[in-house]
Amino acid sequence: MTKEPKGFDKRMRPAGEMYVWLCAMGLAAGIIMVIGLLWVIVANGVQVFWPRPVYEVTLKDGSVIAASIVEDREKKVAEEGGQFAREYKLFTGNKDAYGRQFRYVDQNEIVSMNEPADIIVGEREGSGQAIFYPIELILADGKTVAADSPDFDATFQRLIDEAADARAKARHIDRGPIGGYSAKLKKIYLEKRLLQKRNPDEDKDLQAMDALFIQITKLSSDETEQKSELMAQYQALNDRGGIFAEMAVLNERERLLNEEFAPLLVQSQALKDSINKNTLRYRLIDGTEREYAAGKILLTYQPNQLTAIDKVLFFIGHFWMFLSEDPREANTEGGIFPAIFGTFVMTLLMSIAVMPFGVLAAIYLREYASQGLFTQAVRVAVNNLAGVPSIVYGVFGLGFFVYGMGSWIDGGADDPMAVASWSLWLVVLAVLIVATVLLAQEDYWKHRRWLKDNIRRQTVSTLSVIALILLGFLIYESPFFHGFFSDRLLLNEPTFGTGGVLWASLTLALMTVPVVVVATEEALAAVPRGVREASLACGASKWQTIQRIVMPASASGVLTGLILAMARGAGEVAPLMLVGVIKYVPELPLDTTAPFFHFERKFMHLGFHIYDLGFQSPDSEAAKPMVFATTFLLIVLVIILNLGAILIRDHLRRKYASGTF
Amino acid sequence: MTTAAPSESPAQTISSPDEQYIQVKDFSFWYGSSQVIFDQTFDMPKQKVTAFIGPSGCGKSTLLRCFNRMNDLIDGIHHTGDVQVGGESIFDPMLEVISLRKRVGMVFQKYNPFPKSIYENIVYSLRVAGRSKKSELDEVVERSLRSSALWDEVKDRLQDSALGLSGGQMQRLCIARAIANQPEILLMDEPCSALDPVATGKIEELIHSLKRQFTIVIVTHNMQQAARVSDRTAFFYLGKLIEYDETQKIFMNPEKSQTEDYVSGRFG
Ligand SMILES: Nc1ncnc2c1ncn2[C@@H]1O[C@H](COP(=O)(O)OP(=O)(O)OP(=O)(O)O)[C@@H](O)[C@H]1O
Ligand SMILES: [Mg+2]
Repeated sequence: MTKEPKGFDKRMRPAGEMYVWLCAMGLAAGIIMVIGLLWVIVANGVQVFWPRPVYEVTLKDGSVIAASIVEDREKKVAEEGGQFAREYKLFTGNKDAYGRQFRYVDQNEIVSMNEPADIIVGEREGSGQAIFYPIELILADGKTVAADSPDFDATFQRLIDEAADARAKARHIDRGPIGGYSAKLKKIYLEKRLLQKRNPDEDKDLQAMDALFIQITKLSSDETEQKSELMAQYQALNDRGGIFAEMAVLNERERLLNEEFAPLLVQSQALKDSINKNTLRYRLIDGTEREYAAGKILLTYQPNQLTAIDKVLFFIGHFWMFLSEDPREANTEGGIFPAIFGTFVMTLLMSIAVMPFGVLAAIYLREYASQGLFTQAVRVAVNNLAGVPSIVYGVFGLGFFVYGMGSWIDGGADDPMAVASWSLWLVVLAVLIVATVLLAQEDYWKHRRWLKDNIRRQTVSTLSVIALILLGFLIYESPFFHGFFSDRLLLNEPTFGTGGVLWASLTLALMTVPVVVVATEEALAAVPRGVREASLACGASKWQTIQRIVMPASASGVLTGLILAMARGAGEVAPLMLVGVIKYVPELPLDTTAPFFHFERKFMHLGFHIYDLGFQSPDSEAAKPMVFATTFLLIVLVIILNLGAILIRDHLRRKYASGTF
Repeated sequence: MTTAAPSESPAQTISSPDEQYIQVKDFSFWYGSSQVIFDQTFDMPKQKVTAFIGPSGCGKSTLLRCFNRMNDLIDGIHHTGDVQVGGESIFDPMLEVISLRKRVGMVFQKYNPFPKSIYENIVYSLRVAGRSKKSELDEVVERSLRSSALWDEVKDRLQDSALGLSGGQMQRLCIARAIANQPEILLMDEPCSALDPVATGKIEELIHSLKRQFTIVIVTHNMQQAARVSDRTAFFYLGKLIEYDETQKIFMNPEKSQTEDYVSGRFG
């Protein structure tokens, strides 16, 4: 025990020193948990990209396995002596040969393990990785190149490169011109279907006509006799005129289109075929020989001969592929680019949607509404909306946005109002609007004011809310509007009436509105009274004061709200599953085909991708590291978006630094 | 003991009625149910400095803030009687508050520049009035800064943030801002209470030079200041106007003993 100096009074020790430690402990616990979580995610995530050595494992029963070690763990079941033996989880690849990629091997069963230098790992377009020894290449012209011949490596690499090239070219053609071709073809097809739908009586004949057309196009040119017979029948139908003539026109357009694009289609197909024309014969470690199209092997490496630099390059290359490529094989291979992009677009759209709503609501609540019991109740209600389970928002989004607004955009109201009563309501609305505007502008008529300011404000806002609701209702019930996409609806193909990135963003915007409202209100309340009074004293109106003084001064607080909202929205999965996220869709919501923004499209999302990989995947073992990698990317994406907002906020803070108030 | 009776009102001594720029008539004012101004009647002359003095809580700021209807922001206020500026009632329902505030500038006790550049602070009242011609704004900035004796100190940093100025400079900036749009009246609520003697001296000089253009009403707790800058002084106590007269008279030879006690520091 230390001796206290003379005259030391215990009561002089500052009170509450203990609590400093308590706070520090609280913070430390928080930091440790966060770091732990990040560590688990990163450590597991990078595994996907880091090359592992491949061992030749000989077992007691004489069998040999070539595999890399994924996990070294205690066995689940105790041995007889009550001991837990250790076992390896091995990645053997060659799913096409073994039907599975992983094996558990008791470590007691292993006789020897060594690293064969010349074993090769090949990443394939289908069925995952292969671990093998090459035998020979069988080229398209029948020549073979044996594995031990000096030009094997060069030839093999050339085939891989050529295939990659062909794939890129084919992809370019498919995405570009052929994409346009399919769109046009689809349009013609839709028109044909519409023609049939609209004329149910002639449907049979129209179908017959279509069938004839298909038959004729399929006939080769030397079957002239049959062709002319069919042509005659076709002509007879065509001569009936009207819709049949229309059908013929459509068919003719289709034929011309096909003719125009035939060379491209052929070219694309040829490119794809070229990938398959060379074959690699290889031997697995257990001696079985297999063949695989050489072009479908994406890359090969010798895992036991990689230097440290090779490994780093390998890591970077694979990480980049993960970022930039589309998923393959039920999402368990390839990259996650569409999911990254989808998450990004959705979060941005959400932010754009949530800002005006949240900020305007908060301005009214804080600046205009008289601070009575009702306002307080509204405020509490808004704050509590933040606690509603997100799936509830999903259900609401599905009902309101997708089935309500979406199907209205597609096909107008299900059951529109009669024209007469609709017009009557329109008159009511017009009167309401005129009354509201006159009342709101009362200041400007040079008459005696007959309502107190706050009562007038409440009346105006109540009236405008009623007018707004009525306006919405009238627009919705309009008997003159039959939807922008009614044609496609007729074919049971909803456009906006099904989940999409727009509806998902709006749903999330709704969900995060409370966050923005609360943050904005705080920020508005923090603007000092002095500057507001100064602004009013300068002859500014209330709105000018809000717009020119209060809003800039509280902008950084508003952005804090947005940051919180983005963080919450970007990581949300449950509601998205109802309003537009799906497992796989290569088309992005933004691309180079007009009209560039395709907000009705369904999209991929990192959060959902994690769920899909981890719990819906046919091979969840293989997907497990991908789950971590995807999680890691989701976190990184949220951080990047937040950093963007934080940078803007700091810029604003510097601009409106308010140290002296 | 009320001085508000018209016969006693010192305002009566001033001749021409259009010289009486601000006229307070039987004015009473309530925050909710508590009355803070009791039946005051007096007039303030044009292009003169009028000082309001009196112990804390006697309603000086409240009265001052009535002149540009700043109290409108507070819920539950009401008044009886009238205040006229230039012959027009400021409570006339047909009068727009905004146009009143353009005529009546105000400088607050605590300097409160906007978090904008010096330039933008000064042109604010013009911008909200929809005037944005560059040459006009430049001219206003220079004129206002010169009249508030700040021009030489800030002319090279007009685009810098106003928050980088010293306290005294900020208060002078606020004065420049208040006079930028050429108001007729300038209300100052303890403009020097947060400043050191040097800055206070500058502002007092400023008030002297400004009264050629503006009618100034200043609230102050500093008797010397009131004596130095004002032409007329009103002494309030508990919401009542006790005495109102030429400053010299109030300080040298007041009629009421309360006034004498207060100005000589024997009050309370
Ligand atoms: N917003 C308000 N609501 C209710 N009462 C108020 C309000 N503002 C001021 N008062 C009361 O009105 C009275 C006069 O206040 P006022 O601020 O006008 O005094 P003052 O003379 O300016 O005092 P000081 O010299 O301390 O500034 C005080 O009793 C005060 O408590
Ligand atoms: Mg005061």
